[in-house]
Amino acid sequence: MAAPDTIGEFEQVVLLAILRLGDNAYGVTIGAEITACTDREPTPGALYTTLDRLEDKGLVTSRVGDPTPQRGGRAKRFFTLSANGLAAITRAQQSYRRLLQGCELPGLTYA
Amino acid sequence: MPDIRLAESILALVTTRDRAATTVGDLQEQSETRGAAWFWSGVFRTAASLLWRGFADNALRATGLAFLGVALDGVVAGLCAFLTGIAFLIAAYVTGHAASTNSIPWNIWLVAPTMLASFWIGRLLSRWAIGCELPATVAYIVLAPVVSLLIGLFLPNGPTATQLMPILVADLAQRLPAIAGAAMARRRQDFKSPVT
Repeated sequence: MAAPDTIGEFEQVVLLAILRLGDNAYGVTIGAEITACTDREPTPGALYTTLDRLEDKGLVTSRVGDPTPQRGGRAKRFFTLSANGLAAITRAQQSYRRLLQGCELPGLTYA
Repeated sequence: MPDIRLAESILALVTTRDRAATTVGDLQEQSETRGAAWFWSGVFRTAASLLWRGFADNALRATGLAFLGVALDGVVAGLCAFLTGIAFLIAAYVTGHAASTNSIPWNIWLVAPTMLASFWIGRLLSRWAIGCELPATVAYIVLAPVVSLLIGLFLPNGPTATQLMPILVADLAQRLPAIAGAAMARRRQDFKSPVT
């Protein structure tokens, strides 16, 4: 059986942001959500490269919305987690959870 | 308002046209609050990042094609050296004395074929390296001056240590037309293929 793809730390952050945003996950809102939740602002280069990579890996799917004048007539690309993406992020978070069990971190209550 | 068509064509060199359009739309949306400098920085950083990713994902193929480009470059350089020798002899015969290789016409004669060849090699690499057109071309642009410098170092009367950097920069500059060639070939492919 082939080993499932592992996903990097920033890929997990992006997948979780897409999951949180639901139907409104496109470049701008994903970047804003990451900044709001992690206090770090992703560079456009890192964000769009990661989104492209996740889509190429089949972990997210995208659909193009309607063009809007505010965006110079360019459409938004909305992202959604695929079944593989959901499985990958679940696996990654379960690993973190197992690692956290029995650890005491300052200011973090593990539930 | 930033020139979003230019930004889109820059990004379209390293990703698909529809991804380039939506990315530029996102950057444009944010540039209303962050300004034009942020927009262009975003465009170039995204392009650089996608270029690097394109190379990393196809490192072997891009490097192999870059070496092929260098080999073609060598063939063209050999041909040019042969033709230059003949032209030099003809000029000496017609004028009655040896021509000065420091004159502007001679420099144009020597540099123009390299630049034209680079343009042509850029177009060829773009056709052969579908999916990693620009990474292969950039790899060729970086590799060709390094290879020619290494060859020069092994030749008798090769460049001295102080001449290395200027030669490298000049060689690099002469091969920049390869990017224009690759861009043109990629554009033609884009127009032939439907938007996804």
